[in-house]
Amino acid sequence: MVDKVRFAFTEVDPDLGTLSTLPYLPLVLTYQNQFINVSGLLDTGSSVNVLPYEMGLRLGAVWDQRLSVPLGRNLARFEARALVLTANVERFSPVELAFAWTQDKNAPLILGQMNFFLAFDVCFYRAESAFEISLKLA
Amino acid sequence: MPLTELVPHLKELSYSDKLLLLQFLSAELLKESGLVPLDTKGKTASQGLHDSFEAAAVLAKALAEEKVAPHG
Repeated sequence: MVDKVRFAFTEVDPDLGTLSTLPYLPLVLTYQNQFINVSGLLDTGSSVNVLPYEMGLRLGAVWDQRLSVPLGRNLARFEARALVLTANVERFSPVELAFAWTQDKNAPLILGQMNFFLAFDVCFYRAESAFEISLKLA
Repeated sequence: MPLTELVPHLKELSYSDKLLLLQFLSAELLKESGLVPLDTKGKTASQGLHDSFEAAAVLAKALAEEKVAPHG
């Protein structure tokens, strides 16, 4: 069984170098028989996981069949629905992640407190531009 | 209320109220069009997520339901 896996931060702007690095985690999201390879931003300041609209469509999810999710402030202008996906991260066992599937076309894929950080422990080493994750025991 | 009846009332508004009305109307039009104001683009994804606790409760409910009926 895998204990922990270390990832490098991702450089967003080559001109800014390490100043622009962010903790993006590569993962595979699966819904029914469809899957996509994506990178999600680890955001400890986000209450929820957020799934961009296009990703939900690519997975074959049906908007009208989902529970409505009341996101706050600026994101409140866009409707969001609850969508539970299976996530595979590296060699860890698959986990169920619940997403606020938003119609905001500018939203990135965000991995937040509910429930990514309930499923995984994450340790950030910002000075080394790296982070380690381990799956929490049930 | 027809627009013809509304206009005389609008003319009586103060300068600042007219400005606020203009801002209100443009915000309403953007909202109806599903457009994001230029000054909030890029910020929308991070604002409001730190305290979306009601949303987190809905996701918890969805997860619990998923355990009963997978990918329904």
